[in-house]
Amino acid sequence: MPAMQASSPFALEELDLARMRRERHARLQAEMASQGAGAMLLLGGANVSYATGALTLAAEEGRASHERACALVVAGADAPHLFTPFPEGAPPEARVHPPLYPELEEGVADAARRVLEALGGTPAGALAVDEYTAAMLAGFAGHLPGVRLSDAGAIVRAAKLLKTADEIECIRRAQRINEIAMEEARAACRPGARQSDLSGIFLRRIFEVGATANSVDPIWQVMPGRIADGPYTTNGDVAFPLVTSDRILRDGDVVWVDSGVLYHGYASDFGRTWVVGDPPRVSATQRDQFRRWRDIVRATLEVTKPGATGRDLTRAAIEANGGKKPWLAHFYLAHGLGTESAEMPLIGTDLGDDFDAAIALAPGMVFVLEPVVWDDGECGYRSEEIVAVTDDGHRVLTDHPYTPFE
Amino acid sequence: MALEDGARVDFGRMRAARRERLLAEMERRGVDVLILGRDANARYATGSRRLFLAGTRPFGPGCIVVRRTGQVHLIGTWDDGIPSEIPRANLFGITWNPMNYLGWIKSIDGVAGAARVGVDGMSPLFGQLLPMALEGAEIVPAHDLVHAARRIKTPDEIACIRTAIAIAEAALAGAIERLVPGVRERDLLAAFEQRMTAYGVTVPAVEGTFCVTPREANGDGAPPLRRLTTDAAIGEGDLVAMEGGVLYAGYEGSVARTWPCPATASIAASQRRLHERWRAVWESVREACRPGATGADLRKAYEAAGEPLPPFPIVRGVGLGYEPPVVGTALGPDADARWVLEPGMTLAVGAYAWERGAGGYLGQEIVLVTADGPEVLTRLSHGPLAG
Repeated sequence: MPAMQASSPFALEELDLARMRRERHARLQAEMASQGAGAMLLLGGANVSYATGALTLAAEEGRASHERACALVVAGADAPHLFTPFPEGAPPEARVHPPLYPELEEGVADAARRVLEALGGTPAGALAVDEYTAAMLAGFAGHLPGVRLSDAGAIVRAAKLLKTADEIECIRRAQRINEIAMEEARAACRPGARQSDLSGIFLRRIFEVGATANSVDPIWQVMPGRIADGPYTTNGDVAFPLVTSDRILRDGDVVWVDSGVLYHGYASDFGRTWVVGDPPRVSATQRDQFRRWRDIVRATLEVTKPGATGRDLTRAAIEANGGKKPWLAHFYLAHGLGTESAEMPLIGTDLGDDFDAAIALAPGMVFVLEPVVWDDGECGYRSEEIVAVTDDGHRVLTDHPYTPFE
Repeated sequence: MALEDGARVDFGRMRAARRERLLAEMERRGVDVLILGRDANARYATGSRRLFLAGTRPFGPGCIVVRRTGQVHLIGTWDDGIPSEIPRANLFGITWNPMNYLGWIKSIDGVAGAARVGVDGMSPLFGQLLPMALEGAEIVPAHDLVHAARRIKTPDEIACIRTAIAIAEAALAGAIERLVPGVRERDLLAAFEQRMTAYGVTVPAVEGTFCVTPREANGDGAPPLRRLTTDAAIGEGDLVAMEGGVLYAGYEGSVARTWPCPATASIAASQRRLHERWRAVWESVREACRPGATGADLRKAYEAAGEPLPPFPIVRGVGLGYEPPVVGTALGPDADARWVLEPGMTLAVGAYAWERGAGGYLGQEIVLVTADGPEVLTRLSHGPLAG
């Protein structure tokens, strides 16, 4: 949907979408050159969005796969090719073609033919591809004799890692839309409301305020006091996130909220802990958990600046939590945010300390800190903060209160 | 759905029947193990209810089906949303190290010694790694196998689809209530999604189309239709194409209708004719939805009504979301001819009639193919334009 007008319900900072697409295209070109790709065919929705800026219809995976946009980036070209069923969502500079159908056998042969046609023959250098449908496995390479295929994943990951100022403003806007919708959902989070009622308020409001899409089914998980009272987990840790239903919220429920919307292809990530009540009552123990969570975030942000490593962040968070990892065993302390709701850098995963130590923070990195404080028997506190690394430190993009804990 | 007898679906029976169909296709095609990444395929095999994410996802080995043991194995750190017939031992927790997935796959009973392993997609990374875990097994594409199982619906699946359609129709009615001059297209989308949640469903099949139909051609010869909802305000006398869909128990219900703004607007004869033209196409395609008909026959039926093909497939499968057959694309009639209709298939039939200066009529109905012919599952009225 077109950019917001002067009537925006929040302060807009400078955003130039054409410049954003230009700068991303230049980054992809540079990575293609350094990795020896003559061209790159992208099928993954987040990758196509990054390479072209094309808008499409958000949908379940089957529909999104059959009605997909695909991007073809040619080394040295000034703009990408875009094959799309939604020509009205194509940016002006893209070379727009009718859609490809790589889910279908006949579509694979057609795609190979049309890619070669757009390239004007066999590319000089490899054709990098980000993924293969099952139909492509059967025949794509066979339809491209003499073409060397390579992996586009590393090219796109490298280009995406550092965000431009426009990309950061898109993430900030996505987050503001998300936060405004959450204000109304929180007001409705009272005894007797259903989880699905909160979803309804949230979904209505994000579209009213200007989201281009919703990207994840919003989570309103009622947390157990003890891990043993929740679902079985393979690792013995807290089960989160559990899928929303029409469960009725009750007085005193502790609710972990998590959601994400898209603005021009960029994801928000909202995480807060709420308490159900009219008004909600927060115990001294819960207040203490929140204070500890805030201390962990503060300690982590203190070391968040260019040159620090992911390991510096995990060390600061662990130290602030008395020597224990303050995050869920199956997740991470932090994950990157961009055209995917979780992308590089991932910090604190089971890839281990060496992996984290190899991540050097640099200006333009955007990630989400999501520490968790858990006292088994007393439940816990979880919220998320989006952080952009700047030239001399960091900027927190999340702008939302900690009601009812403050 | 809040009452214990309200669902009219035996979900346990439905899951068992699906697994049986899938294992039978593996047997028929000589596939020993399936590695499934697509969410709908994993849901078909397991019945697990997992966090919904919109859009495409990179391939990953989310679900493993073993023919010899009949067991399904899943990536999942907890058992919430996992049917009780799947033992905890068949769950493998989320990990960020792809090598851990290989170790898990190798450890599954029945994987060692498998000669043929089917996959429903592939990433370059797993394309390199999976052969290491599969010790010389042949890796074959399995989309046709899974869709052969999925395309014929059991009575329980059809009951789910009927429920999903009922919710989609009710949600569309919620959007129609908001249709007055000055409302923005995006406000109708907002109303659709909120009304959907009133029925306990929080996941749309598609973030729908709520778009004023163009009155002028766009130059490429096809009847012009926008499908991406915008900020634009809707004016008096505009014809608004509305398509929305929801997922109930994973099954899609979707519906498209076109209404004038406001509903009480006086309607020009040219606008009323659009619906008549739409109805002629719809009836022609509906009558062709019979066992033995091919996709090419459906295309012919559309064209026989004298309308140019619209900028979307005219017929496609409906089940755990959007699925084959996909008919009426630019791939042409030969590509359509490979699809043959059978009893038990559920199809979305869409059509569009457009005229310069008047606008367009978009409508979509869902049809169940039966031995006796088409059964129309959609019930929602076509509104003021239908007279």
